Amino acid sequence: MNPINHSSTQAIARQSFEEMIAMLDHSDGVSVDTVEPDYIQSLDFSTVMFTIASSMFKVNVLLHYCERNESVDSFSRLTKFDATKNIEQQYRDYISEIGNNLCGSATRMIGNTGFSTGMSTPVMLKIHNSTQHMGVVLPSSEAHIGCMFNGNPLIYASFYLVINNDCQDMVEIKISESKAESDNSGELEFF
Amino acid sequence: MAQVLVVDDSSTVRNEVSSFLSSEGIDVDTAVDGVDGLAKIGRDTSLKLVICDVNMPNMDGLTMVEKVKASGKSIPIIMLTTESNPSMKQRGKDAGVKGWIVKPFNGAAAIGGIKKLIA
Repeated sequence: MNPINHSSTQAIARQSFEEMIAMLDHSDGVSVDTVEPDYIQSLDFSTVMFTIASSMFKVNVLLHYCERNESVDSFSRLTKFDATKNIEQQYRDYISEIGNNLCGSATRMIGNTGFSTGMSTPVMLKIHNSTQHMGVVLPSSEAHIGCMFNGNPLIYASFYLVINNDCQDMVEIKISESKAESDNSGELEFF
Repeated sequence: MAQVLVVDDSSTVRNEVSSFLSSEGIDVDTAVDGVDGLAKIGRDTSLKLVICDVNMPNMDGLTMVEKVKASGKSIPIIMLTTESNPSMKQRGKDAGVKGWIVKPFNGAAAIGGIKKLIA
């Protein structure tokens, strides 16, 4: 395992996940930390998968979320849901959108290192325990991160860096473990 | 009679952007994809600005921009998207897009530019 790529996978996971959590209207009581994949598997959460791809490597991003009522309730306390409309539908839409933002942040970080990448649309996985199946893609490195809300598991993300066989020695993604200060997301760039 | 049309397939984004712009005193309408957006741009002559996602079902945002420009409308359009790839931005410039915002939407950072465009 290339230690630079492994450290970068960890940095991408942490920084993009923290940006995603910053989207919440209230984040009091939310604590972010790295976790083991076995822990995520034990939660029996649902999963939506995104893929960030270049010609030499891809990053599979799995966003694990809970469809049980208590988790929907937790999210509705952390962000603005319209109480007059279907909460479950808003919750699923919200999960897809924060996943898009999670991968958008990761794509930007990778793009800033000089690699040209694109991002797929989200795919809802029908299988449970998805992390146990990801070994088949032979990842070069992986990172798992998530957050609790008031001591209860809220949402988790798994990042798998998969480098094409013939590019193993050519891909070195160098991302600082400290958050970049020049992030310009949200600003209007005029053409 | 809306001043700004927000086109995004995500109700989360439509609600977030609409409520922010409304709180700034701007009248907002929404559309769920490029097809819906194109129809509303064609009908509503009061629109001064369109804020549009890139990746959407039925018709993506950049195709919608190309069709608006082909129809002869000169309304300014800015893209609000997770896409930050330079080649995607170049396609937007070539299509006549006026500006680009990388999600997540930060109202405070974008409102100055938005108000200039609808003034």
